[in-house]
Amino acid sequence: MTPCIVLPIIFPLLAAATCVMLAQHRRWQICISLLSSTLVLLVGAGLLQTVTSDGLISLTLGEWPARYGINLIADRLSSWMVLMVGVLGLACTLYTIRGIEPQRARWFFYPVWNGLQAGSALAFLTGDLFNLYVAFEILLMGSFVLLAHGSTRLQLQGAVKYVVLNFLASTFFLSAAGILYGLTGTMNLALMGQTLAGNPEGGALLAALLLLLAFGIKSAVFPLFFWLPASYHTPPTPVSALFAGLLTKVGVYALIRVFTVVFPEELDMLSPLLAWCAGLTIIVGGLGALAQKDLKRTLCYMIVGHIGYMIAAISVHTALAYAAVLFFLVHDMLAKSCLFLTAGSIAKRTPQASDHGGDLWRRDPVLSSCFGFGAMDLAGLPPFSGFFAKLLVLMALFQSGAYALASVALIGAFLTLFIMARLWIQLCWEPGTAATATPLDTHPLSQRIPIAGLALLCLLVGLSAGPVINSALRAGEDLKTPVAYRQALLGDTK
Amino acid sequence: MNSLIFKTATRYLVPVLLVFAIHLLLRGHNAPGGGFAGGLVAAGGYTLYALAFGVTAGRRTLRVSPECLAGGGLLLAVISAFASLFAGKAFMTALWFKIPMPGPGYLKLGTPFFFDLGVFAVVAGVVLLFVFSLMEVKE
Repeated sequence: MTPCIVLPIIFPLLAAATCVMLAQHRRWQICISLLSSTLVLLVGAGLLQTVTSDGLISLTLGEWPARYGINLIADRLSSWMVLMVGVLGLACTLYTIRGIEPQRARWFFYPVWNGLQAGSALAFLTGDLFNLYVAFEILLMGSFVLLAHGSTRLQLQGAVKYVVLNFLASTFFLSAAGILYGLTGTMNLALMGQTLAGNPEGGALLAALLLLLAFGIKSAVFPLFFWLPASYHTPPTPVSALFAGLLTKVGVYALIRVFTVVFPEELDMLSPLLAWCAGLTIIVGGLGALAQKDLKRTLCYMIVGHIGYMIAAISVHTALAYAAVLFFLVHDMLAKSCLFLTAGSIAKRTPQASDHGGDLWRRDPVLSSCFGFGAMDLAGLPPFSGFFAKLLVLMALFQSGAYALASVALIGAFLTLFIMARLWIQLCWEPGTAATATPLDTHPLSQRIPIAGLALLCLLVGLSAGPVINSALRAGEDLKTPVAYRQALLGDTK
Repeated sequence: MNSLIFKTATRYLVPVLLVFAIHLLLRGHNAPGGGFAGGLVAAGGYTLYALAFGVTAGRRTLRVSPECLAGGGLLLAVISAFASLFAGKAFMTALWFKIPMPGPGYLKLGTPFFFDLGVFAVVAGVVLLFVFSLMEVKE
């Protein structure tokens, strides 16, 4: 089973290579991309099962000693994330069949698309800081190309903000990696943590702050979030859906992974800062969404707001809080991708300038139910997964006595509920104008299936919350005391 | 570019550049050089040719499309990493073979070489893809 762990990175990479060679054949590229995402999904499920039954899987490439080698490691959190890469990749790739202009396929859309998925899988599986950096760079390059692909004026405006701020984040990341290498002489996360533990160094705190800044930019935390609403609504629908599902969450994942394994002491010190950022992120995201008129822009601010919940949970750093973050990540990835895909389809069906078409319930009940599912999930209504996600975060906050932050989270939840209800009423119930009274063109099946699939998954994760929460709770304990993770990562190095 | 001196010089320079690119690729395992540098130099050679004789001639001389070069290179690199799995070792472990050659010597060939060759092709392919596309836009 061990070789399995490289496959989620290798499949998209192979798909990217073949798609470059088949640049003129759109159908083949789509088939290959679909195949690769399906395989990633299956391997992700396999990893999750193996990790649940047999414990961690780790591998040092090329049989180098763990101190120098490239380490890959999968625990519950990583396996869940890889599984989600497969799910989102499959759904969004299906949507690209009719969701992007066909000529884009000739300009290397699919190779970059697959490269982006390879990069996320690498970020979720790597056990050393430098490869995490490499994964972030792959993600940055891939997402920059996809953002600018097609180069409309709006897209380029968004892409410039995106790339400038993210380059800044990469610089911080690289400086921190340099400092840490100087202090510990290794890039292996576990070995780094071991060397730093117990001897407080000024340099380590500096590196921790730089990494916090870098991951904060990547995951769009207040006050470093403004690139996200400026750029995410500009590219074609499947691209924004994949970004919304994956990219900011990679930042959250990296934050958990690096701070639990390398900087448990610094995390204690920085937790008030994290708590403030989280609270402000929740409020700013909610208020920003309230002020928007455009559907996709509203959703962009919702991404920011919900990142706040995860950061809030990380700031109290108990086992329950980490479990809450895992569940929240799974829920948020599904809900955000579903909503962005739905928003794209709604915008296509209502051709006027504003996305508030109105009367959608009468004109397309299936599409509007999918939107309703996603909206209820995001608003956190039972039995959807969003309810349990918010419940777990609130439980973790109350358990640690962070009452102020918990009340902010509740206000944020109320704002989300209000915004989602408002969107639903405007889009689905409000009687349409003469323009929207015209019958809809048919909604292609290749768009209907991923939207409905993701909407049902949102519900399904909520309905089967028990096993998922159990797995999350176990993962939370492992993250709180990453003894097994460290041991597996150290390999034979003592 | 319609200059007799440039065209004549290019005819002599391109082979030298390509040989130097291969030299860089081969010495890269133990000394400065390697697939990345070699690929850049090779791409430089073809770029020079395309500047002197036009993009169409450049593409014709390359024979394969830059897309195939880049994609094929990536495939080769990934497959070379897989080879160690069949030998029962960890992914990406270097495997070395000694192939006897006529005379006293032997040829030491290993999977890292094929990985580097893949890098060479990816770099050359991607750079040429950029260069040819940009030159075609200009025309």
